[in-house]
Amino acid sequence: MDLTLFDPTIPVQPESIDYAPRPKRLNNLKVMLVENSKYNSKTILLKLFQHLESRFQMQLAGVIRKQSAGHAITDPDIEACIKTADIAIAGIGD
Amino acid sequence: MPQDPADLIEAYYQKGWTDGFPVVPPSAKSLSAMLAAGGLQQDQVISDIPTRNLVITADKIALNAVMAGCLPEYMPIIISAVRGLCHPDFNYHGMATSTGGAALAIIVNGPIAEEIGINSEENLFGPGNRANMTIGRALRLLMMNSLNTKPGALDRSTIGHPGKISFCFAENEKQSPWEPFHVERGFAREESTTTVFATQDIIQAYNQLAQTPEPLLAGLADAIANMGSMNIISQQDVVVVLAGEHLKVIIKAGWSKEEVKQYLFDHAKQTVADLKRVKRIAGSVEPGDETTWRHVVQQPEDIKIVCAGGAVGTFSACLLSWGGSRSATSMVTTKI
Repeated sequence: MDLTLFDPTIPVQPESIDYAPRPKRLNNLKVMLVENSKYNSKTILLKLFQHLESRFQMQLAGVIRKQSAGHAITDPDIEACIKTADIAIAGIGD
Repeated sequence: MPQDPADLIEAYYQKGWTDGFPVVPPSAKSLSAMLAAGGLQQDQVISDIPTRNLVITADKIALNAVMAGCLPEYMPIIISAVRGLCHPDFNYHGMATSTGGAALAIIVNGPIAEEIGINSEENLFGPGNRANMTIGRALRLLMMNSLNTKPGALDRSTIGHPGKISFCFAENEKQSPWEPFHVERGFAREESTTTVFATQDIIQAYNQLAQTPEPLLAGLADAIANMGSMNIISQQDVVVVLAGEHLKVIIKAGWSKEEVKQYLFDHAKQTVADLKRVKRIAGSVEPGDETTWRHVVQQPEDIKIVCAGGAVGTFSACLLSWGGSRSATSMVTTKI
């Protein structure tokens, strides 16, 4: 009888992703909001932006809506963030 | 190293490589037989899931199939289903991780279903048939062991349901008066396919008295359009499994599949006012909401009809979709 244990797992290849450099100051930055399609995601992000606007005079570059919460943001949307915004704020979870 | 088969089974428990039931410990011989039945090399790449940074090789699928208790001849079906769940439209990461706790339903069509004995008749969702139980289990074990879909980790189901252990069945194409489900989806009748579907709810709908399609389907429509379902908001696909005496009522009346879908679509709905009252839609009831209807799907074609189940009995089943929005997932049909 073959009594070897066979490992059914697939090792996850860790991927190193560098953080984007933090802005040196918050004043007058252009902000992209990335909402994940969950109820209230956009509402909360816009509320947050209002605070940033009044406190740091930030400007809204746009709002991106993901296909669904379980989908990754698309490459064209990432490009749009890079081209039009200084920072992005994403809504995650429920 | 364990010397007793029971110790070996226990060793798989200790490793965390089971679904809670004992697994069949693989051997070099059983692994080899499973790969050979699929015409596969051990390290052959079958598919990948970029959102989880995973590449799935044949040996991992074969190991989980052996552990689930599959016969080698089931392997082509399992491979097909794996390709389906890796398709971007299926959105594996969403359905597998969600608090919604969806089951992976695998619907098998074509000659292979009968060749390997997948149950499409009495008790097809229940226990007792090796192919149904072990093929579904193989996919779930693969999800848990190989695709990082462990409860408490990347499976965050609030409740889950027993269909998450195993859920595989075939359409009873001989019983159906219409073209088979996979033909409707663009495949030839002589081809075999799997369709993967992320299902949130399984509802058995009962009607013993209806002798014509209208009252029968009205009851099914009510089951589909319940206000607690994700479907009434997401408007994603619904699968209706027409069985036994219900199917006979519809056949006797001479209805087409399209007529069945249209009737279900017309009646599976709620008013916006009622949905607001139960807080499935935000806001207060406005003028017009009492007469504005929200259908459970966006169009009749989104209701998928599958003929299966025992010949005797007045039950059918409704499988509702997982997903909080229409774009969250799509069923995927793959040729075997």
